[in-house]
Amino acid sequence: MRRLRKIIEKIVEGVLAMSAAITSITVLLIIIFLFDEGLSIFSKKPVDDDTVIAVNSSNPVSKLTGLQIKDIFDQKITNWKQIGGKNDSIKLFRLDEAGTTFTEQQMGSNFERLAICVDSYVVRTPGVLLYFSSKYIPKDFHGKRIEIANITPYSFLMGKQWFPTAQPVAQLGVLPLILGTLWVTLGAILFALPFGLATAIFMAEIANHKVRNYLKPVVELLAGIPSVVYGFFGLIVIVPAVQKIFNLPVGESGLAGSIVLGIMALPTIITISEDALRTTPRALKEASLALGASHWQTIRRVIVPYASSGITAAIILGIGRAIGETMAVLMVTGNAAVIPHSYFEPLRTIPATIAAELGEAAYGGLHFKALFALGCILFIMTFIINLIFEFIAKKKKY
Amino acid sequence: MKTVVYYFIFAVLLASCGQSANTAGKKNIKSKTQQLNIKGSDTELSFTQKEIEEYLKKNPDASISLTGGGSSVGITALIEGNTDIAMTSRDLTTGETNEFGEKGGGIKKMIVAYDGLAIIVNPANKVDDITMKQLEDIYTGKIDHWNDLQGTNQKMSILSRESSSGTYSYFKEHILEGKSYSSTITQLTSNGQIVESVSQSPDAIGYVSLGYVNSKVKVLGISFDGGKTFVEGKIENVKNNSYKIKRPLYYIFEENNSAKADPFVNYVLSDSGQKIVETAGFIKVK
Repeated sequence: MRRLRKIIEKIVEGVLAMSAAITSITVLLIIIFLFDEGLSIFSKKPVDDDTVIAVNSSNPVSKLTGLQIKDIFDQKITNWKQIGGKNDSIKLFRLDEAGTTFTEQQMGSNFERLAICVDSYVVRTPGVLLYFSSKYIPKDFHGKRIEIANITPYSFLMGKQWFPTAQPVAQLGVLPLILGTLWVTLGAILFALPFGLATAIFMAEIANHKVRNYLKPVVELLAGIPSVVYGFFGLIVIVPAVQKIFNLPVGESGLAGSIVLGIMALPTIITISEDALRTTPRALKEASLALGASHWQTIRRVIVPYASSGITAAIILGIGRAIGETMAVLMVTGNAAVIPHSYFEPLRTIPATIAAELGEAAYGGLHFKALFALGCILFIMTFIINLIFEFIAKKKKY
Repeated sequence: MKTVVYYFIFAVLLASCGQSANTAGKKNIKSKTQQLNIKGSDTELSFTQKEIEEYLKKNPDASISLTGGGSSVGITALIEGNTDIAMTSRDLTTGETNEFGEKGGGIKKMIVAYDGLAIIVNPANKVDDITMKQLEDIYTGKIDHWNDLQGTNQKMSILSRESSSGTYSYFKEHILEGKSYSSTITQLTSNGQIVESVSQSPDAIGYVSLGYVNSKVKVLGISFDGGKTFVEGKIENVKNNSYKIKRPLYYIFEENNSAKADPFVNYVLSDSGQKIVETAGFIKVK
């Protein structure tokens, strides 16, 4: 009997060890997958593989940045002089324009002579900027292909324009998204911290048993509400309220996002800081009271300072909760990819971008990889937050 | 002894969990083979939902699942084989056509309805008309105050759809003539959200499918000839082609999958199916 029991215990221990191993391996695999997909964007060009951008061979311009090409196609740049070429207006030539430029007779009924037409058009038009599929470019092409710079970590992180589906050159600058995420998170914490801390102090020190027993489950209930419900609540209640109170043109803004995220971060902040406040040793409290300090003085000078590292940890976990939140911010922040300057304008966060765009990004494509790179950035951000949390939680003094 | 019994119970529970999970999995696979998946354009979601309801009344055995997400989401899902029919409110891009070409087998593109795109503002807004040029300037960021359009001296809040939306792409191609949107525009995730937001903000402007317009917003008349004449954004004007922001709404599916897709698509194209399209605020094909 005893031997059987020993064997079973061994088996159970083995099963437990196995589960731990499987969990760690899964986490590692996910991280490897994330970074493998995300980092591969830096060896790519921000255009489709079969895109050809070319100019007349006499044109001195041979390199263009993605931003310059976008400005040319948006007709903000209309003369080659603006980008270091001759004083000649830029003539865009796209596949759509082939039908109006050449007759069907010239192109052939199945476009078999289109390549020759394109080639001769580029040769006789000095100011041309050609954007075509490589399918219709002849082998002995007489134009000059424009070099487009690879995506570099610098251009990715510091770029200010996020137009991942722009044609012909995708604009992948994530600075507005990173700043938007940080901005809305900061707002959430500024909003949640006073409320959260006040509630925690009330629950730990001031409230009597009855109130506390009632309040605690309510706060914990707040943590159990699905985030999409918060988003819906934000959209229906907070967005119109923000718009009315601050007289904004549109209520979807960083402020609305901050309030919703603040509410979502509240349970984390309250429960953890309340636990920290409760760990203050009775001896410390009683010593303070015995010295003649009032209850409030004890809270302010003894209990809160004692629990300060726990409270900091609560704030940091609250930030962690807010920074990765997806659905709620997607619904209430307005999603304009601009560098935020105030809380009253729409902004776009990293998680909302991933959620909104992953469905349309073709598997393995440029856009897909860019979204994974965003995921990497988000991972690094939360990782740093967790490291800080570990550091503070360990630093418990007294 | 007691612990041994507990272990035994635990093991039995585990095993039974595995068992039930297995059978559940099998059931899923079985129903999947019959289920028709439709995915894509949010614009087409409203009438397709009604079509499915009516279709299921006539064919109680059929099983159809419908998901939105945007035209691009539907097309990507079709390329990856995750849906049977993609609803799309824009044509395929050359890149997408190439991808279908590489897969082989060919695709079928059925126009199931036409849709006018309405430019909407708040009813309190004094502006009634807009030219195509002004519209382009607003969305590319050249105009951002209503007094440029003889309105109040207020900053506009410019609303657009998300980039996954076919309406977003259609608007970019045909109204902005391929130029990029200004990056300061607010992007909302559905037609309904744009209507809701415009109805609440006096300075907002947005574009939605005519099928989503309600009494809480005002539809702007549009001039297609540089301000000489203005055409009201109404179904009748879309029908007689005087209102030119009109686009086809497609169902796209692969040809070798047409046995599965045809019955439903044919129903939508039938007289009773097209009646549903009309009552939902869209224009029938024939």
